[in-house]
Amino acid sequence: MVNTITNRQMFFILVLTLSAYSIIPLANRMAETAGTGAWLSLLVTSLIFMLPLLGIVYLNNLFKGKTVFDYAPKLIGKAGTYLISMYYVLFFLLFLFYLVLEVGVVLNADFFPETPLWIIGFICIPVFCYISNKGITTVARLCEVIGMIFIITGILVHVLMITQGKLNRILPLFSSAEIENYVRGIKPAILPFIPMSLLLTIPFAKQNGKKSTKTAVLTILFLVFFYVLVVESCIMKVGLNDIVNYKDSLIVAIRDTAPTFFEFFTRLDILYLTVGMTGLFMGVIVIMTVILEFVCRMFAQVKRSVISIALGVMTFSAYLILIGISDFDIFILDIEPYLVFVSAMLIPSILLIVAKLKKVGKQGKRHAV
Amino acid sequence: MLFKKVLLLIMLIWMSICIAGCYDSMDINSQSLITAVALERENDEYVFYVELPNLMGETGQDGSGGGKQQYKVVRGSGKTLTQARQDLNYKNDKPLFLGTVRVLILTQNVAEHGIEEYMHRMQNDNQYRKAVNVITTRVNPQDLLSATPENNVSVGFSIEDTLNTLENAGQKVAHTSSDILENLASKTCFVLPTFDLENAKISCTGYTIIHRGKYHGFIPEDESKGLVWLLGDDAKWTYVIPYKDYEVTVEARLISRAIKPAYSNEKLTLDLDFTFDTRIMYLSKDVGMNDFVQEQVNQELQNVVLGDITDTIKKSKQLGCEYLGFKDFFRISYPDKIRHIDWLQTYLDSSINITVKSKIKPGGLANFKTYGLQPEES
Repeated sequence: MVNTITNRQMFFILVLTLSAYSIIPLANRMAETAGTGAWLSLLVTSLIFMLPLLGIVYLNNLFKGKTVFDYAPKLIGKAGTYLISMYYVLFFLLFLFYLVLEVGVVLNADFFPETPLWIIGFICIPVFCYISNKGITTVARLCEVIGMIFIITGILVHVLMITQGKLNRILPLFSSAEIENYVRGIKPAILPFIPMSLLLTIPFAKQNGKKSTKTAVLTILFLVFFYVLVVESCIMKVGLNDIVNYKDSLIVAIRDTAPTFFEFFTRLDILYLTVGMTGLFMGVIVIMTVILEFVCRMFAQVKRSVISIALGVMTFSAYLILIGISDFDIFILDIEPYLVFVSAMLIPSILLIVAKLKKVGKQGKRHAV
Repeated sequence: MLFKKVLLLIMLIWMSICIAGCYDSMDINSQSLITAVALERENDEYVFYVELPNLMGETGQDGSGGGKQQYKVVRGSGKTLTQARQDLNYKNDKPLFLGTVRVLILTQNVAEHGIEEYMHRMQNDNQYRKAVNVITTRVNPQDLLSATPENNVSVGFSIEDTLNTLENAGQKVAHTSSDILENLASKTCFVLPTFDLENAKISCTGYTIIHRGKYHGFIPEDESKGLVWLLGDDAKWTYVIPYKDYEVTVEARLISRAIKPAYSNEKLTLDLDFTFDTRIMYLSKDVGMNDFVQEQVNQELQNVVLGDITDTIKKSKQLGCEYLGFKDFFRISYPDKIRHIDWLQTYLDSSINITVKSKIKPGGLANFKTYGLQPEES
């Protein structure tokens, strides 16, 4: 079956796409709202998002080898399918523009202050386009390789940060007087779950089976562990009061860490520049691939490479425009809860309910037999 | 086929553009790598002193190649920090690079004027490492940076090494710029190690207290044991305990430190529990030590340590400044109260109970129980 992914690839795609950029400002946003109870807000948010993820995995298993664009006509008709596809394309485009802009800003602000922003986009976007044009299977294989390095390095770096940090800074872990803040912390904790609905565009194979549900649960559990590790290690290193001053809190915290017991590890920021940034690039590539998958199905008569180039040009143009708009990230963060509600919860729920009402599951099983 | 050739051509052009990113690469010798920055305030002006290694292999005026001539001190001044930095730029033929700074030295004059502005400047400077050590000095920075360190040609590296050595030995409380920024942001009083010149040698002479971003007082090194017991990691001190007509030298190592605040009826009570492991190092006379004598020495040691901690807390209350980290423990226990109370006043009005427990551990080169035991003590 073409363009399908394995459960392991699903894990790495989700980890890279969901965590790649979001972990950079996560500690700052969580510290601002939830304070030392950031772990609780993250845990609650991840549990909330586990349900829609399981729903999406269920739909993918129900319609094996198909994307939402392929099976939605049976459930909500062709017009409905085009409508939701348009929504997903716009949603992922908006997120792509946000990600590419943030990649440029992070690279420029923290690593290459002398390099003009447009140059970063000019070099990065064609590479993203080229890789995403290869299709989801190639991208998934790449994610498998890079994801493994990203996770090992990420955990190592954050454990090193914990050894250098101060425990008092993340205490108290829970206080009943702070519950209001923990609830406020749910909104910024949504950021790492924004692109979760990308799985709708990735077809599952027969081999994915019931294990895919287990993988989805494990992915969310791993992600929440990783997010908590990132946030707590950053707060332990920089401090709760100071971290709110840094948008790119992760990079500041990494720069603050200089473990003396590993001579070759004293500059962790260089390690992050290579491995962390590669993970971030993969996240952008996955989003770009998802958009391509949608658009290629909507405009089947147009060549994929032409759509890739058009997407690249559009992304670069948007990037150039957005460089001049200072509050674009705030705008995205303001509307993210609504966008995510529709993309990850409302639409999959509608599809799932209609599938259940039409008893598609039973038919699916008969087909499988 | 033509398409592939065109694609290859595009790729080659693309690669050449990317590789051309190296066109303005600079050799390490073409930058002035700063190893220490000192900030002074003189005649209502900011003055920067920077220590620069001589990477071009220039020798001193006397023609010698080694020693201090390997490092130069450059001075720049101005009404504002920006002007002082600009002046520094005018005096250097190569761009200054701050990523190699080992220590930031703030003079007492700057501390009295306020350190916040410079720390905020540092906060937003990408070149500066957030892990850079920050110290204060009461001597002229030019003299400090011109001093000859014992084992190191660079004053910046020497001070960093000294701090690391003392911290690893459990005898120093040091702060990085990141810690200071956190303390300033949380409006917490803190101490900075002070390095001065003693007989033309760089020496750690005590701690400067910083309150609300400004100098608030000084703790001499010989009065700082209690401070390290209260703030230091793996704190360890050596004491000489007099017993009868001889002296017992012991090493006390902090095993646990529990600080428990209790707040009721707007009154704070702090319970401090310290547990030590003690090792007898040597005696001033050729006598032995049985369990009874060891216990006597242990009791005396507990009293001495208790005295050190009590004196440190008393001094802090006398100075009207809480730099002993109690605020953090109060925040952890009462996160809702800390926002509504006047912490300093609460601390000054607080009662503090200190418990010190120590246990003599076997160890050392000599077996004191049997070695040279006197009959009347056996």
